[in-house]
Amino acid sequence: MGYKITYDNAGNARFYSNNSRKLPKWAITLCCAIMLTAVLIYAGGGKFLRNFFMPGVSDAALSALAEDLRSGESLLDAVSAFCSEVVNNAKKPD
Amino acid sequence: MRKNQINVRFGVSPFACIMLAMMLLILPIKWIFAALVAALIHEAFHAAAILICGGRIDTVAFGSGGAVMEACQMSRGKELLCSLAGPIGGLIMILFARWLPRIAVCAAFQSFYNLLPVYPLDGGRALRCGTEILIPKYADRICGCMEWLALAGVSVLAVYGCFCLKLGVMPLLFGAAFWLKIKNTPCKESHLKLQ
Repeated sequence: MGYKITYDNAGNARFYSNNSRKLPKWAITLCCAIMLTAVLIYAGGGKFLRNFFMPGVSDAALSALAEDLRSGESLLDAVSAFCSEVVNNAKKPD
Repeated sequence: MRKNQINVRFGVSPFACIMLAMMLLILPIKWIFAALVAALIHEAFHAAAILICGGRIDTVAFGSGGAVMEACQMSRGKELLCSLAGPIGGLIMILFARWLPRIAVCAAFQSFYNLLPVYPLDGGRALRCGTEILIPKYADRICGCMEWLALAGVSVLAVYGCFCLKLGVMPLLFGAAFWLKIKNTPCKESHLKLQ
């Protein structure tokens, strides 16, 4: 119901409202834990999950995409080259 | 009382934090920043269109699938314009690709994704509004067919990318998230919700 009433020894009522808590506690804890983990792993400089989620996407490929566009290449050509590189990287054995 | 006053409530879903954490793990920080700026531009164009059309923005909620802007109900024509404003804003960023390459790529990706003709996305909403204006008799049938075609296409690409091209589990996750997003959203809503 969003509130709780308790009575102390003198019989005075105390009203506690829970409305200030918009997010469930487990969600806040989970988010804090994940954010902390992410920050720690990122600060460590590791490519922790990238190889699992999208193994072909390397920093070099992403930088090359940005550089291609900066040098005046069209978005379509740059993205095509990026996709080819990602597919080739993914096929390479580790 | 001004009709288009801004009295917006903001909300952040816990899943938005999880998504941000995932992005931190997967992409370089410059690209994450670019994706956030591109999303901001997309939403800014939606907001501008809503205000120009005389609408009112009630809430802006940040979730796992990006921001969702809730506005008051509008006519079909205005809703069509407001739906397309976000993707158009993203596509305009392609013109600045030479100077802002990362933002241009992210904005283009977001725009093409949002232009998919499935309902809660901008493309699906625009298609529904357009068909209801032009050919109301066939609107449901056309939108339904386009939605299933898009879902089938995304599913095939996700499976092909994951198993044939060995692009990791990201394509599958993307496909699954797409299905969940589409199937959990009722087609008729009382408010205008722009992705």
